[in-house]
Amino acid sequence: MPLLLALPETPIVIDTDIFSHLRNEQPYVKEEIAKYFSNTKSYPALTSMTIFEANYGINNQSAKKVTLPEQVAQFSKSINDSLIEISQILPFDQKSAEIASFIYPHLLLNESAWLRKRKSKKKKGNREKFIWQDVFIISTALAHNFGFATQNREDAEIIAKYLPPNMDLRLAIWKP
Amino acid sequence: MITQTLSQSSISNFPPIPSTGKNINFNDSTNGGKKLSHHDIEILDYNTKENKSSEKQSKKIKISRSLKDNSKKLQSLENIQDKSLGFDIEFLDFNSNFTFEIVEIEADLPSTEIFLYLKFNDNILKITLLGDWRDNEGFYLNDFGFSVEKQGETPTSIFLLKTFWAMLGLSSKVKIQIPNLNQKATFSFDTKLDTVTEMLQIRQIAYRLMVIEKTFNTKLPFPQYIDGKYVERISYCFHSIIERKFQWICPSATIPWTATQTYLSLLPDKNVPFPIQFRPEIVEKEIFGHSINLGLQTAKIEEYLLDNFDEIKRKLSKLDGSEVLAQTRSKNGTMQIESLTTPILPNDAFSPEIQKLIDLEEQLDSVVMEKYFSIVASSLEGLTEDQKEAVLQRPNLDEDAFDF
Repeated sequence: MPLLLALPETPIVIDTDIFSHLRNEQPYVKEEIAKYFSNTKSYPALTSMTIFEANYGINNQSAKKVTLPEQVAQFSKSINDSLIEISQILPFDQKSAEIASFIYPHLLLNESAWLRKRKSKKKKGNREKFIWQDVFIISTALAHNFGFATQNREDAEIIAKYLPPNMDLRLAIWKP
Repeated sequence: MITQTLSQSSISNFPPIPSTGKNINFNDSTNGGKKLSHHDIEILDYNTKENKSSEKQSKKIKISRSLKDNSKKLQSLENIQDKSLGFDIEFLDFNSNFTFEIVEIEADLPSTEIFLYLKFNDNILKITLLGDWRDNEGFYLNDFGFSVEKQGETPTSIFLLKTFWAMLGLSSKVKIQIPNLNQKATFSFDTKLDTVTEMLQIRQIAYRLMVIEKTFNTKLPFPQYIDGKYVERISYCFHSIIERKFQWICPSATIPWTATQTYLSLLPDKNVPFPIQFRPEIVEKEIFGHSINLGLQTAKIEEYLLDNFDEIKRKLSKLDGSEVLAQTRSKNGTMQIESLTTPILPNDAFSPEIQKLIDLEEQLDSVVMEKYFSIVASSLEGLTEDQKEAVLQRPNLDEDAFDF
């Protein structure tokens, strides 16, 4: 099974949920990141998918006219300027796309029952309802030789079953 | 023993170093710091910010006596009668101070810039003093900046330089003093966090090389570019010396076994993961052309898997002494390395001064983390809990392609 353990010095990408918890200053994330920094003298990377997700919320508010345009502009600048200073942003590039396109059909075909069950458990609006973002994030991490830190072991394990041949995902579970 | 690989990034350490003070821009002290690009490590422009509570910063500087002939040639320290000029800098946040020897003073009249060259191990730091000349009084210091004139090429000199530079970037208050010139000032500096982080990364590698040097009584260079494979080897050697027992990457491997009773007895009855410990072997690592003999080490894998179990069992059962290729791996991709006869770092490996800087690591990390968390949290600053919930909501795209 191509799911391996991330070592203390393995370069890591964090998923969007952990990034959100970081922005909300949840102590468990701060502890994990401090440990990671102590070992690597670097910060966990983000993927361009997470940048999309991080910007989506405020733009969604803007589209619904819940938020004023100037607030949106200020908030977007705040997110993106701070991200640039502190994080390596891994792009969803050709290799990432190739990996994602391999995982996707295999996952859909072989795990349809699990996906349906998973979806039925999640309420609409639940942040964990969909899995496609994680497929894109994991594909990007793999393409750039990074490991993956998440709270959700089950999702990562299922996705990792369908990685392209000779490819391993190094996983770190960060949770309270 | 199985070859280890760890995904490590290469490090490009040293962008071009400015040869003149032209790369230093002094802004008005109230303008704040200049933004530095990601690759500006050595072109650091530590613009000073006014510190209201600091001591008065414009003071008479007496080195004008060496320039009284109005010569435009370089003025060296040899021309100054007092040859014991020093430059002190104190980092209040880190309770640390440095004293540098001024090895040269350079000025080109009527310029209002004076350059001091400071010796720091194998490094030469360049201090640019910016001020103005006042008749019969001398030079009044208004502002100053640091750059690196010559960077050392040993792990120790790099370690010292990066530690010093990181402290400059992370300190909220820095005191400088040139006792012989009766100069004192208090400053703070504005440096981007990613720049400081790069310094700390290089500092970590330099320290690890220092540990290897001291343990093996050897001298290692510190090249301008370090390939990822060397970063990994340095890490392996460091952990072998310091931790003695540590987890490391265990890639899949094809290992030749022999169809004998000994090998057959290693096999479990069923194809399930089983623990295995490799016999001790001498491990050597090449670092920058130097061979580092780590002595005897052993590797232990808690959950060892044979991907071609049935084939192995069938062939080994023949007991005919033939070669059987076993496709092996660690279930979680790691193994535990244990140093058995790897040399130990001597207790007094480093001088007290250097040890003090080594011990600053936790403090440096802590300041960086504080700044990092502050920057991240600022992206939600001023929002109510409802607003936070709304902006942190993950995309909910209902197109068929993504609706699962």
